[in-house]
Amino acid sequence: MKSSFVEALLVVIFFLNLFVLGTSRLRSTITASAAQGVVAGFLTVLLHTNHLGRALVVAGGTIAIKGALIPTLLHRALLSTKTRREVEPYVGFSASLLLGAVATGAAILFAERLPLAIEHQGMLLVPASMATILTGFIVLTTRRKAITQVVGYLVLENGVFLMALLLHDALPSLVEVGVLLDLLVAIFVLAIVIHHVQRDFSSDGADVAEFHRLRE
Amino acid sequence: MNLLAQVGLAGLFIVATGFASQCLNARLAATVAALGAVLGGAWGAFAAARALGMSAPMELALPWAMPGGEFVVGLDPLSAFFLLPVFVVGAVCAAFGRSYLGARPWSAAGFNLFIGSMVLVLLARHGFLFLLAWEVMTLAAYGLIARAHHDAEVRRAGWAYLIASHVSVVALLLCFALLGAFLGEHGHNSLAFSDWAILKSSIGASAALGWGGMSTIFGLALVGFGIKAGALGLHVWLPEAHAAAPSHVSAVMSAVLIKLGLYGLLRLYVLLPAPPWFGAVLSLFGVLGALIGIALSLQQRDIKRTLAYSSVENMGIIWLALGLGFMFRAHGLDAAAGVVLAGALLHVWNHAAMKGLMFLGAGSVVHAAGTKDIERLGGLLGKMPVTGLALIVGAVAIAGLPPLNGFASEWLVFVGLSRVAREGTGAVSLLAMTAAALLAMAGGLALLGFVRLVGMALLGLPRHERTALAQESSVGMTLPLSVMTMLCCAAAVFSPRLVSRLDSVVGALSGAGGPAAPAAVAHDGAVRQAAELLSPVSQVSMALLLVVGAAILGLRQWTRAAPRTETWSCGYTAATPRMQYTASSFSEFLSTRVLPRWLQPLRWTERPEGLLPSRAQMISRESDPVTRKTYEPLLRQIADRLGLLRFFHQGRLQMYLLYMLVAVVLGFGWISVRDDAGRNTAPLKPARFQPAPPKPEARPPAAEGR
Repeated sequence: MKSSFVEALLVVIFFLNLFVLGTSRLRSTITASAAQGVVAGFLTVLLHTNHLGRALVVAGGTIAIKGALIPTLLHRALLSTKTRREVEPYVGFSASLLLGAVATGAAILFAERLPLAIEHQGMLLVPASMATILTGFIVLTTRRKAITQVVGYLVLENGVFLMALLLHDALPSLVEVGVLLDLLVAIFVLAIVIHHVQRDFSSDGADVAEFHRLRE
Repeated sequence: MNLLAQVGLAGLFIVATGFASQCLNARLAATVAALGAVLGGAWGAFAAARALGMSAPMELALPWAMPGGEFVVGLDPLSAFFLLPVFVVGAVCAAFGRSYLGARPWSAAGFNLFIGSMVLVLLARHGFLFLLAWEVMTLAAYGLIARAHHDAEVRRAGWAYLIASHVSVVALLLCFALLGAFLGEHGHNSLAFSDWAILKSSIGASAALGWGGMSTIFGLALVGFGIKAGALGLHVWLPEAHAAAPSHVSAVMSAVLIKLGLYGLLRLYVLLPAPPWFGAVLSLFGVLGALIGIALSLQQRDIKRTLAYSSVENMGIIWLALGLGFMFRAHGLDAAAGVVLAGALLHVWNHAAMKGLMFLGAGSVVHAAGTKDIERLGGLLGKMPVTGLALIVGAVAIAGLPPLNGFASEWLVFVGLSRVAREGTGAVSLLAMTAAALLAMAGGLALLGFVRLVGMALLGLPRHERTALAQESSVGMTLPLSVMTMLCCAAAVFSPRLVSRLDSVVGALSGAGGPAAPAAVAHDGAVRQAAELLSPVSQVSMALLLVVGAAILGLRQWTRAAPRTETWSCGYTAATPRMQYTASSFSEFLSTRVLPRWLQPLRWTERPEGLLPSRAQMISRESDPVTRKTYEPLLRQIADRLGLLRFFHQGRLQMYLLYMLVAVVLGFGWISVRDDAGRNTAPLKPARFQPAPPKPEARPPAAEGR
């Protein structure tokens, strides 16, 4: 029963990946990535019942940072920088979705070939984590705003977090390090807010595309 | 305390005082750093001088938490031979630098680090430690060369040095890695020098490496160490860096740093069985370096470039003598070869003393006159008597003229060569005679070059207003200069004693080369003979120095009373300093009539036309033919090719992330494909080792007939 619940949650993660790629609204992408983080936090508890106390702490930290702190900061950043509420991708939404689907398929195919431990074989966790990492990369490469860069990084980091769940028994501190990575994202967001990237590089919202003016 | 510890601690003391003094204020810090270098240098020099006579080499292994590295240091006569100039010249130049650069504590600390790293290079007995020290030495020197980085020319020189040095390090890395990999296969601790000797002691091991392997290793070493040692063709960084660096740094680089390239080669030669071509290639590099180096030196307008090319020449002489010595020994002419080798080694010391002296003298001139351009100097002997006298002594020494030390070592080489010419047969005798003739030609050109340098810079009238205001440098500079001058004179007077100290070094080199050569047999008596050969030289030197010294003093007394008037100018009353010979015009005949075209400076002339005087000009620019003809086109071509890579440098964050994505996806893909391939081929693998199926032709002919 528990296993099928885990699988269901992983399917939610797949779905959220595609949602991040397909939606045109900035707020929705932020919420979706936050939701993915919350799901990942729950998965920690479900997968590691033998170290329940510790898993609870990690899950609590993950959910608090990914589900509450970072989205709040991002929403505030969105308001304070007066960024337009649209995603403005380089690659259209349907093409992004297609890419995401290809990435998911590739991740499932690839995960089958990995020499995994016996207890991890056949689980959806590995393909889900890879698909999430690839989705994060796609968001990072096809979106132009600073905020979407942060979202892409968050999604990628969710993928890394899921992969780290495999190793929770072997390397317990790895997952905690993952939580620290979330703090790094928080600092990213703060940097956008505090240093007003948009004022230095662009008149219309923080736009990393303008960084190319710094090219040698 | 044993000598190894003394030398090591002296080096450490020099570096430590440099950095520890940084907590003081700038003036005090620079002084303390220089003082540390002087005291440490004196201590180290005494220890190194005693180590020259040591019978058994010392080694010491210290704990070191470096993966793949071992902190093994050692001391033997070969190291001590090179340590002595490092400490002596380092100490004198540090003292000079304190006045030359003023209160610049970080430059002083960098200089001390430079000296200390050279000491470590000479003590290191493990490939890893050696390369590490080598790299620290390179970078410390770069920091010193590029000190005046606001000047574009200095930046350019710094780049040239850095690039050349890293090509050198890459070659050495490959060389050491090849050796290490080979020895690792045979179960030895692959990078320790003591284990490299196995290649020599066991004939089996050297046979396994083979002629080709040994040639590759020595070829790479020739490139790597040859770049540092200023071998012709690999010397392009040398004039640039020597001209750009502060003078005391140029002095150390020319006197010591480039010798370390030679040390590296000799160390490998002592440790490993050298391929038979080694001596020949060494002498070929040498003869080219000597002739072309001095020909280029003659054309330079920059006083420090002139000296730098003269270093190429002198290194050429040393390479030539060493290479010939190795070759003669291979032909069984042990005694004569020993004399040539002793001459080459003595020239290493002598060149360190006289080139250190010349660069310090040039530094004093540059400091006073504010220019390195010989065409703007002139008449400095009267204004700067100590510097002028030092430069004259140095020039006489470098030109290889009798009363000074340059003559002593070159003379040994010539005597050795003439002995080979007499004793040897056929080709060897001819080779010795040819080499002697070419060396004599280089010596003649060097004489011309230093007459030009001294004549233009010190005599005549100042060619520029700034030069006319020059004054003698402070005691902080003239004292080190005087010390170096004394060293040069002493090296000439005591040359027999110096050469007898070289006994064990010549022995090490004589015992080297082939796997079966018994040490200390070949050189027996050679060094004693050399010392005997030098004793008339030293007597003549002493007599001449006394006579010349007395004459100078007497002349000064005499001229003090004489009235000063203008030089007689054939009744022409409006003579100006511009009417003097310039340095370019002095060497014009040689550079335009004698030298081959590709060695000549570039020149553009616009001749006056018509009956009336009209516009005319002549521009000449000296440039290094090797740089101009080889490296510049080659590097430009490479740069053009690499320019295509700029396409990938889009400056968009997303593009860089995309590259990462592509790399990750390709990595995933490669792993899957490789696993697939592994799965498919796995059952096939053993087939390779099965005996091949019988070939169709091997069928019995009876079956065919059916």
